[in-house]
Amino acid sequence: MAGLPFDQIAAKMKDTIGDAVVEVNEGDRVPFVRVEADAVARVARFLRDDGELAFDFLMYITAVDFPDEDKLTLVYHYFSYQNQQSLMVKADVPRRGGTARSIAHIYAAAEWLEREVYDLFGVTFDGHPNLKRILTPEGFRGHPLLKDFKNDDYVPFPDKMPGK
Amino acid sequence: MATDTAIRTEEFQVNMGPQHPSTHGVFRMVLTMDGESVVDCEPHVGFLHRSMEKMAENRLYIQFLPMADRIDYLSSMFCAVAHCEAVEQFMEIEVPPRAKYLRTMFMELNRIASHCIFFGVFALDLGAVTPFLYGFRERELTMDLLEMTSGQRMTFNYVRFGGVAADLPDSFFPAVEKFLRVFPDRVTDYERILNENEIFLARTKGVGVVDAARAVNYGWSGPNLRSSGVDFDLRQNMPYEAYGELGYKPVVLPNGDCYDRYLARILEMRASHSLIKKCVEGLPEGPTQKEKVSKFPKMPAGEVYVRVESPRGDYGLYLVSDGTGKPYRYKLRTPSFNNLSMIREMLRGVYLADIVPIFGSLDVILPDVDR
Repeated sequence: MAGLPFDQIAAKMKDTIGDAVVEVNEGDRVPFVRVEADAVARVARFLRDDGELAFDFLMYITAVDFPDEDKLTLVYHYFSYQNQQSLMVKADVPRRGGTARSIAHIYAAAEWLEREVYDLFGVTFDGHPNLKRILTPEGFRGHPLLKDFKNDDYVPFPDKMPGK
Repeated sequence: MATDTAIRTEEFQVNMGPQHPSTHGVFRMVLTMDGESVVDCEPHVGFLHRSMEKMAENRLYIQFLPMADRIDYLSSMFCAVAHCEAVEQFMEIEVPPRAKYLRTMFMELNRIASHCIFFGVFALDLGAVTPFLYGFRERELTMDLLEMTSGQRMTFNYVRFGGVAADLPDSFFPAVEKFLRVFPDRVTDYERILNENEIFLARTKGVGVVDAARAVNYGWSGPNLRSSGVDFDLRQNMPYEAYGELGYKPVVLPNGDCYDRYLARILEMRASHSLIKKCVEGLPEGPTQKEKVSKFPKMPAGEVYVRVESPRGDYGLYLVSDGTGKPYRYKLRTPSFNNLSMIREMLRGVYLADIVPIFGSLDVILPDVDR
């Protein structure tokens, strides 16, 4: 079964959850829908539970840092096994102290993916069952994938360094 | 109610890993046990985090090309192909047909090498030592083929923007013919060792069962997903390189237990063997590298997402370019990370002895989880 083309998906999202949709962009290679940051969970639930769209597979969550515009763009990339098509959803949050609703209760895969975004970018996810660092060690300071992250003065285990 | 005769038990914690032979690298689980049963499992990953994404953002595209091989060193051809495909999509380069076939053939050889390791190590985890030696014996055959073409045994650095680094040497064809001749019998040997082995069946049949809905919800992909009954393989459904011309029918199994996850890989080895055979037979003549492709490409601004079917599943690369020679954002969607994220739920309620087959059957590799 072939899925809806992107413009119809976007139109359907506007019809049903129109207050959450900020921007529909055909993009140069990857079309995407930009939504409000506080609505990502509502959007995720709609995308998964709608019988026609059926985006049942969350491929990844990540973020892109734009220090010049003082924002982080969260990227949610969904895929539908039923329709064999993907959809990218973006949401902008502030660079420091950005927060979004967790979708771990909708997509179980999001539990680790959100932890990764929290670890590497510092975005917190409300309602996440176990939000803590996943890739960097315990006690790590800072969020390494931010563009202005500096690790010059970083010592991994200061208390274990020789001579201390 | 505890009486004098009842055995009183209390929960206790066991630390498993990061240095444990069956964790295939450095994976740590803190297990809460009630006697022999697992009550809870707290997984810890990240011991092998090498900040691949940050390194990519600080390097030219060509500088990261050899690094891409090290993201998942057991299937490095796939990581390199994803990297090059992303660059080629940005630059709108059409790869010559011969290069496409060579990439496809070496990806499948690499897949066999990876599945051979799975076969050997999974059996070793369950206490059978012989398959380990058999698996590594056949892996050597594929490694020889890859080495005589690329010069490397594991991290090949063979794929280039717009083609591949070298054409096949003359010695390749007799060697690949020998490989194609002997390999099906060797896989039959594998099956005769394990498929109906009483102990192996008892340890894997009906253990760690995952149904299709749960597998999809946790973002599983690759052989793990297909052994839960989902008929989806990027090689068939969204073909890239030469898969569209070769045609491929995925291996799908219904039960979703450890045994099916093992069997899926054995059957995939046979499928890869026939793909390699088709590649050798239908290998087109012509150049292996598109001419006039810049080694230091300057990308247009934009973003692209590339997916390839690696031995562990759906390997994705989300690349954002800002118009300079370096990636602005280089997100790796590694299949092992999502495949492993279910481990906590899978281990709840099982016996201690089932932890190793369940973890082993996922075929995760920790550099792929931690990046």
